[in-house]
Amino acid sequence: MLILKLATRNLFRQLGRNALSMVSIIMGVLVIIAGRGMANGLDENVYRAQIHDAGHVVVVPPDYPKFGIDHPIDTLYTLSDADRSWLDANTTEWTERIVAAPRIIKGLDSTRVRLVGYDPESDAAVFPRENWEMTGSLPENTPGGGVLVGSGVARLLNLSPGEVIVVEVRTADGALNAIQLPVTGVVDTGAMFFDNVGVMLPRNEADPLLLSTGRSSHVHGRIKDRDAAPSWATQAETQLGDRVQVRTWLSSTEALIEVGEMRRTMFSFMGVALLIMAAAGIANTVLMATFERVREIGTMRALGMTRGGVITMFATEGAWMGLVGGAIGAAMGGALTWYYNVNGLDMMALVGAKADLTSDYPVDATLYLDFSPPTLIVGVVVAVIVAVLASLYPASLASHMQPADAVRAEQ
Amino acid sequence: MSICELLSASRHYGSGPTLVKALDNFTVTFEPGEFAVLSGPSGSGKTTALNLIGLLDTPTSGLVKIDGQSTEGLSSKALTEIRGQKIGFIFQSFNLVPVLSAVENVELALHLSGLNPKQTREMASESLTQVGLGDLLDRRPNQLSGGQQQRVAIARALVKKPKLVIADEPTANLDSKSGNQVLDLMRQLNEEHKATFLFSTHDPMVMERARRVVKILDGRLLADETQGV
Repeated sequence: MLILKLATRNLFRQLGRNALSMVSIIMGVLVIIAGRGMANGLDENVYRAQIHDAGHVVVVPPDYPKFGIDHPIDTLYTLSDADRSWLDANTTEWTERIVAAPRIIKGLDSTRVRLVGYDPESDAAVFPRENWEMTGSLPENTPGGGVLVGSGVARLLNLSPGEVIVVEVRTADGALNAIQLPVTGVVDTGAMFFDNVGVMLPRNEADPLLLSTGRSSHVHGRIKDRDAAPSWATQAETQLGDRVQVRTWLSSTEALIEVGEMRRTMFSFMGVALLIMAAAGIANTVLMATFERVREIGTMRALGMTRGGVITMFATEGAWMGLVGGAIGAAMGGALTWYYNVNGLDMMALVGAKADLTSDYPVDATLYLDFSPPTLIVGVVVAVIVAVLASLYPASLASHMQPADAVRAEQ
Repeated sequence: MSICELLSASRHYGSGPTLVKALDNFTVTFEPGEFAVLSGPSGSGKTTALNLIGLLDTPTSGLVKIDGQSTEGLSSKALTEIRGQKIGFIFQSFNLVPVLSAVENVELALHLSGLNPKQTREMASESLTQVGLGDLLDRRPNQLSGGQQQRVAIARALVKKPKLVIADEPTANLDSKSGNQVLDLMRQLNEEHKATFLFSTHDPMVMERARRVVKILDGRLLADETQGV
């Protein structure tokens, strides 16, 4: 206990120097915690955006493209009554969609978009709309009822509700077709993929345009436990046969999550690099302390302190530096990740302009950092371990001082 | 049984043309309860002799016995253990730990000899009261005078009730009044505790107060005189 007290008081002997040594520890722990919070948050962002965009599970034709706005409609499938019953029994909500890639034209301007033909009755249950920011309204579920466009598309073609556009598309049979429709609303769903390239038509409008009545390209579903999606996929493939392919929120994001893992590794590497710098700083600080306290070390050795005791004393001082620095770093990292976990980080503000973020990938516009108390604890523990290890070398040197010389050293 | 013995002890530094014989074939024995002085000019070898007796150093040749036990071949840990249990130290520069209070400095010696922390505070306070510092327990060394600091060091040396107290020029950094007071105190404690007090000094005032004066010159025994003090 007295040694602990001694080590604690020694920490205040050269407070400025010790505080400087702790800065690297603080930064190392901060980078590890904030970095992991951001990397995990980005993963969750991708998951959330994927689920927002496609539900927990999605049934598509075989070999259907994973990314991009190439949406073939020549391999549509039809659900039997048995399929529908199975989906009713095995999902909390499900809906059918047809997705195509038409061109929309306003005057002389045109752009390729992702057209989503949706069922007005079941679609909102799978794709909640409470966070939508909409100008205007949803289209009527009748022929000529209009089209809802994503905010990015509206910005690109300078569209607003009430204006008329032409939707030009190839039908399921490959013929050219087009329709003139009023824009009923402009929507910002928060999912960049949809907002930048999406338009929505009710099935009653989309099916005559695409000649796809009774057929779908997508079945989206939500299930009770999102982590059970892979086993759901296996069962669904058995039920629905090889005319379809089942994807889950996990399998659809594999590539992005691999990138996320690289990000996590990079943040950890930066954190570890900072901690190695901190270790060098602490080793230097403790080494200086041993040179300044040679006579004290000699006296304690004379009084009966063993070499192990000397090492313990200096390692305890190092541990204190690690603990205090780690705790400050964890508090700062924790506060940062907690704040952005609650309030979210506007990724648009980060990249500067929304229009530049046209993305083929499911990414949510708001990033919620992962606030993880266990990571804070790990951060502090790592800091203490690094600091103790860094102290061992100078502590070992101090323990090997000759007591006879040390007790008479000039201070 | 003698409390400490140096038997043909030598301590040499360097080798060849740079060889220094700090202590050369030196034999001396101290009995329990002695109040003795090792005297000699600077560089005579008295501090080297004290280092060997205090087990702070090991002889190049010869033997050191403490309380009848030979220390030859003992590990650093075993020597530390003997130091912690049987030997108290008083240094010329007091050597108090600046971040600890007077009572904590004394407690430290008890702590290092493995005593139960519950007992240490009471014993340390008692020891400081005995040296007249009962009302300055919580003062840090920088809040004490030189004489008071040396009293703390004496309390620290005696609190473990060691058989041997080694004092390396204990009055050298004190004025004559404080030096006399410290010597009086050590003499009194020597009589009360029956511990052997062994000083190194070249201060005539200290030599006058000793019952035995061992004179060293060039690492060799010059004279061993008993005084009727």
